[in-house]
Amino acid sequence: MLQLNDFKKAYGSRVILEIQSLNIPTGSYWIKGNNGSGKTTLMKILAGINPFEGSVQLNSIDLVKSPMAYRQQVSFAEAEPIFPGFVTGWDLIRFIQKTRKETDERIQSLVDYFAIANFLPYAVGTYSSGMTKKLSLLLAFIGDTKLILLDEPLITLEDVFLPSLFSLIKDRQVSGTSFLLSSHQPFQHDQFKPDGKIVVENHTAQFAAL
Amino acid sequence: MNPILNLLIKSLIAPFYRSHAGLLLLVFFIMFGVVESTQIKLYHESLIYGMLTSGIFLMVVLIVWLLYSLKSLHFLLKTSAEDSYQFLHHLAVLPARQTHFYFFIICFLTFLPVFTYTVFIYAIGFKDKFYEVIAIVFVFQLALWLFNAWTLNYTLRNQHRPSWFTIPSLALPFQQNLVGIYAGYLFKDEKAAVFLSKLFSIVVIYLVKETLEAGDDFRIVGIMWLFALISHTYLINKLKVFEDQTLSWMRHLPISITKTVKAYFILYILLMIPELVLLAGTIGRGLTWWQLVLLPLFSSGFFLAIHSYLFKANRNPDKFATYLFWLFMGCFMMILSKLIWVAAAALLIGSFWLLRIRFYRYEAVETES
Repeated sequence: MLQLNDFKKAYGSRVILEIQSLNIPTGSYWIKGNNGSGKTTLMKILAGINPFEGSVQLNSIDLVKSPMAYRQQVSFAEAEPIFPGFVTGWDLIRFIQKTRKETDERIQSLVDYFAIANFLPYAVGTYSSGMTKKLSLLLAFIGDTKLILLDEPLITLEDVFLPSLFSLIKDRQVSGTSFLLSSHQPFQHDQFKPDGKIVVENHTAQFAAL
Repeated sequence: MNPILNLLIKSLIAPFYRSHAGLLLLVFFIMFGVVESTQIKLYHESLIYGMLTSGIFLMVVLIVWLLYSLKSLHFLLKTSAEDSYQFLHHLAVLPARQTHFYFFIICFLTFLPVFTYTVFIYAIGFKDKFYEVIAIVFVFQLALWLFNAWTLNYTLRNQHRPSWFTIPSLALPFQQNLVGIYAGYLFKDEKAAVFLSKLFSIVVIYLVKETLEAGDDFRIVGIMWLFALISHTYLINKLKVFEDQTLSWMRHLPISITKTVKAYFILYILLMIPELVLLAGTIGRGLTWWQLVLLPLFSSGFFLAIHSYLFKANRNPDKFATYLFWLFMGCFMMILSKLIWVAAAALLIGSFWLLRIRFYRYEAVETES
């Protein structure tokens, strides 16, 4: 599914990540790493947000050569999402719905699933961090993407919502979507059982035993 | 230097001058670029004597200083309210008199270009014994600095109180597309900056409108249009900061660069509509319909050229003023050579090409060079 070759991310002389080759098959994976190891940087690069050197391909579509086609297949939810304070939740949903050509029915079902309909008519600047996080996760599930990247999806969410989130992930897994989830803490097996673990440390990323 | 003052200068004064490079460049041109080098001394002496001898002229100058002071106060208040400036709240534990002094220095530093010119006003005023006018100028400037410092100090210490004054926002129904989001930012989050930029550019366009006569050269309109554009460069800078800070999530969406550039283009056309409407009244007096259509294309190209420059990877922020200077000079020469349409086409095509190259290579982070 996802292939990284001669991959490098550096800020000036400071190398953050250097990966000779990494092939990630279809499935769901836990990205693990300490603070500052480069997890978020890796996620942002895979999402197409930040520049890098080398090659990243998703189902043989190259991120640099075919930026639009690549982005049609990937969606991303940031660990600490920031949106313009003056737009409403509905504005953001409609914007991404239009971009990813999603149906009204699917949007409505996602809104119901996340149970956030009450605050969507209000400006995002008035949301709590938990509400913003839920909105960000909802946005990542819009569209028929092949890979969903969730950076620290567990932080700032209330515990009672987690089973719903993992249930949604399972539904999308069944329909063929792959997931990369970064988290400091391990996932509970009754909630989410990843197919593998990718450890980001010492400026590189590699598979490790679960 | 005092570490607190040092940090305040780095975090407030340096960004102030970077953001207002366009405005300062414009003032510099008006003051030093519109007359021949041999006439500059005489020109400035006339200006200063005009101020010292004419009450009306003095009042106009004081109003211009007041507007500049309000613009700098707005910048300082807006910047210090940003999340990344939360550290400033620690200043509230210091005695009010001490923080007032720090803010007084900061306000004085934002006024430094004006003050430098004022030194020459004092010199001529003392020489020719215009003591009353000098006293008015001194008290007025001191009052501006004290008022701004007091406002900053008061705001810092009273964040727990609800604001007693807010500028009403325009209700924008079209925030579900790129243009709507950018316009929403300008007309909601930056309404005071938009107002001040527009105030200046509309005055410039109004003056040219009132002085145009049948048979006048279009280059007069073109050059004044360019001056009006310079007052908007602050907004382009702010838009880029807005993109960097709150729109990074958009970069993972399948939105083509063509679509993004189209959104910028439409936004910049919309931004200049008030000036265009004003100029429409001069059709037949130094301006044709074709030229009226050309002006927004030129302004969009000019703004896009600035926007595409801000996407340059590992850009040195201090070189922005230099870039702006050469961009302005290039456009000025093209207009003088009656090649404004070439300038518009070159700016639009060049900016689109640069954005195609730079857009995905850009990362909003300051890196080691």
